[in-house]
Amino acid sequence: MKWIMQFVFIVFIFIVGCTKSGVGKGSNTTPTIVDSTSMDTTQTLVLSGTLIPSMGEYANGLVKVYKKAGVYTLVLEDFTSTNGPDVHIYLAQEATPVHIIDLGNLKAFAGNQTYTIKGNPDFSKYSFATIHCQQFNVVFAYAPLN
Amino acid sequence: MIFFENTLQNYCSTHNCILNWEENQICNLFFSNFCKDFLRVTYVMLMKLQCNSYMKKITAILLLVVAFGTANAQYKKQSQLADLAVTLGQSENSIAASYIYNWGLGKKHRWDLGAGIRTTSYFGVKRNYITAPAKLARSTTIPFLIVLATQEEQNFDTLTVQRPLTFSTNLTFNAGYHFSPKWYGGVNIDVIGFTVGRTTSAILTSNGATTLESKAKPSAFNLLLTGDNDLGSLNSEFYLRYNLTNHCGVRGVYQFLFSEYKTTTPDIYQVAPDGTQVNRFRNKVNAFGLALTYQF
Repeated sequence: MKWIMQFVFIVFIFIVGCTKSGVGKGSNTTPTIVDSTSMDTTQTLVLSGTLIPSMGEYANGLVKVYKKAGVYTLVLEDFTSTNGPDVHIYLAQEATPVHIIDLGNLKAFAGNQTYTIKGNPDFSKYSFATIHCQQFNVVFAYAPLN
Repeated sequence: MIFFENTLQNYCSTHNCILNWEENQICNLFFSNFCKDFLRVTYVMLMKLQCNSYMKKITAILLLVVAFGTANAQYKKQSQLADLAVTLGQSENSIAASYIYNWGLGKKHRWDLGAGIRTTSYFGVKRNYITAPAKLARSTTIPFLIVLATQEEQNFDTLTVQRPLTFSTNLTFNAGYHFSPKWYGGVNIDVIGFTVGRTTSAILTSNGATTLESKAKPSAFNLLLTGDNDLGSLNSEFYLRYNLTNHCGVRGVYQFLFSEYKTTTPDIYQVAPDGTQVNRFRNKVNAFGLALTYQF
């Protein structure tokens, strides 16, 4: 029976080791950042909105879309949020996101931050900015863009 | 036997060589007590007299094991096994429990053919599933030939399943060979069964658009049709088993597993170049693992 116990122990170590690695990924240690892009006076404000926290989660702040030299950028201002794993920011066609443009992982859970929008999206369709935990499908907040 | 031993002794005394430690270990590892002496002599002669390169030595060992390793061993005509396998991949793992009934074939029953049942739990995080239907994924759908067919990557779209978790129960086919009383090698593959699992969110990237599917589900029905013709979640293994006792053994496993998820939201699917709407996506998992086998 000794070798059975050894085998089970080795398998247990493998699984535990793997689980810990997975949990650590995307954990909540992202620092606050302050981005000065929004203070650039040469860019044009195209759209803006205020984040509306979803039930059970919390994210607050302003969302602004600027255009400069044909390139759109999305800026979060005075942004604060509860921590979470695998949190992304989208442009979405719906408040509960289905058709989306993924701008990437959230850079920080607090502070001003900037995201480049690739291409030339139709903002009459993509009229929401959404903070979304992708892995667990939880909307932290959304902002109608006007 | 005496002839061989005398020959070996003469050779060794003439050439001043003895079995080194590794050679002793290999002999002890592979060969049963009954025929160990004979094989030891044969092996050493082969090593010292004929084989120079490392590869030749390995080849010689394998030939010996296959050809002579069990010269006097008799294996069970029928055997039953229970098995628990664990495989680890990159952000994806599986646990499989199976029961196999084997029938020994050949004069000494060194070959086994068997059938059984296996439940495989597959789980992972953010796994990419690609377009599943064979007519889109491969250049031909002819059974068996499809395995060698080129992949039609221009038709591939990706469904990133956020937290896949499936439990598939399938009838399983097994084939194996007793290299020696200690060593056994084989292959097994799921044939038909069903899958249940977690409904999870997924991101479909298709034709330049990204959509969030909140209710991706595992395909319920599994059927082996060879290669990308397969339906559902099917597990297969190549393995080498070492029998620790008459009843217990450990297996080293190379696993090839198909996991399949479907989009269920009406508007979320891939539109293929021929207009086909695709909602089946497949993840092909290659992983290594260990298993514990109990032989009744």
